[in-house]
Amino acid sequence: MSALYKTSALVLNSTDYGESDRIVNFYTMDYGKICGIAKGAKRSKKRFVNSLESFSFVKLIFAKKQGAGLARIDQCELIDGFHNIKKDLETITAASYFVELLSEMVREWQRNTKAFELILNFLRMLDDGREPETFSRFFEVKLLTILGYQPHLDKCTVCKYAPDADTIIYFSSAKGGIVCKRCIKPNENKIPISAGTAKSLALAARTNLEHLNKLVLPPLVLKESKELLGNFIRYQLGKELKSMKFMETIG
Amino acid sequence: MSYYAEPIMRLIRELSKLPGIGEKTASRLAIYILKSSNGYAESLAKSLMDVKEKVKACPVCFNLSDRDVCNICTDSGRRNDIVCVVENINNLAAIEKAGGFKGRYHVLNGLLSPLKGISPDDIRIAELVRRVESGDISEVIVATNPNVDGEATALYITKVLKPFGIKVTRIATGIPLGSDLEYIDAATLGLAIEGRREM
Repeated sequence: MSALYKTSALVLNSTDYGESDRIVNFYTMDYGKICGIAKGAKRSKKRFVNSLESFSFVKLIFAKKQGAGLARIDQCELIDGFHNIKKDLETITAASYFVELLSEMVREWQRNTKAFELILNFLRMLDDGREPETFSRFFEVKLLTILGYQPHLDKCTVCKYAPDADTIIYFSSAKGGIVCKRCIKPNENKIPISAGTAKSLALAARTNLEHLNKLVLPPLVLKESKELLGNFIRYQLGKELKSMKFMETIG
Repeated sequence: MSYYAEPIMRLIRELSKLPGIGEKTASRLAIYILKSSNGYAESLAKSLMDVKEKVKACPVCFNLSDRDVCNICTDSGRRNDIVCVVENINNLAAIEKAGGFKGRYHVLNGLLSPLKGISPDDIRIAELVRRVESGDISEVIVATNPNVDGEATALYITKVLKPFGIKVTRIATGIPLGSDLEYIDAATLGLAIEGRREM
């Protein structure tokens, strides 16, 4: 006996399977990440029409048997396809990065409404034309916070003192935050950053989504944030994300 | 399945590796081949070998061909200045079947995909740029599928071809002939309105 589930969801990615089926990963509002098979999706002109594309926000009905690996996608109706995202290569890449990062950081069947709302809002902001590079950094810091991986950016992770402004400090992925000049060991894996970068990211983590567009990251902060967050995420996941590599190849 | 003799079993195993063919269909095909004339079996075997040995990618457009340069590239009745970029040879065949296009092609052999990690070096974009660089081409039509990867590829091609000052166009997206507006999904309808043309 299989149970039937109804929820709103975001399509993370999909791959063709066999002659006409597709295997689709969704991030659902009520059940977290789920993986399902959409039978006849490639052939059907009506059933799943353009609702199985990455970053589609959909109304989903699926069935899942106890113990079965894949859910059976019964209905998938498009609510918002975020079509403006698909008009710019940089935006497509950023949106791909959002869904890949989320997909890698969450486990199947673990509900997290905050993470669901976060990615939905960030895709909406990209669709509305927000700058992809800055908003990628905001997304990283917000997602890490929601999922409990927030890096410590206010105080040195060793001596617990806040670093002086305008000084060079270090970021250590292994320690999960910043380390001041006095506490850093010479052979430690570290990234030198300015105190301003740590401050800006800590502020971004605290700022409400509707006020994020008022935060401007200067070029140096943006460059350092990309390096430190990229390093931290690589450290947490133990691998490089495909969309991140893609971002580098297209320049 | 030991009720079949070993050579039949082997044939069934090989046939069932083909896409869309399960064990039952493979058994049926194997028995058909067994019962058919020697001539048919020989011709089938020869066709299989010929496909592997004689068919190569055309060095100009990367369509598959049994000659040095493919039929389409050597056809003097086609325009040299328009190149249609497609994802694979199936899409090339679909456009050819539709008729109407009398230019040349460029087969990419894949699409860019940030999520699958397929970057410009993995598909034949550099070869397309070299073709454009060598002159003669005034328009490139990007006929990739209207999905995320297809759009990403089209946008990247537009970006790399921009410095050459040629026309880069994208195939239209819209309403299928003979359909009813009432039943068209909102996204397609929106794009159809956006891409309307003057009569």
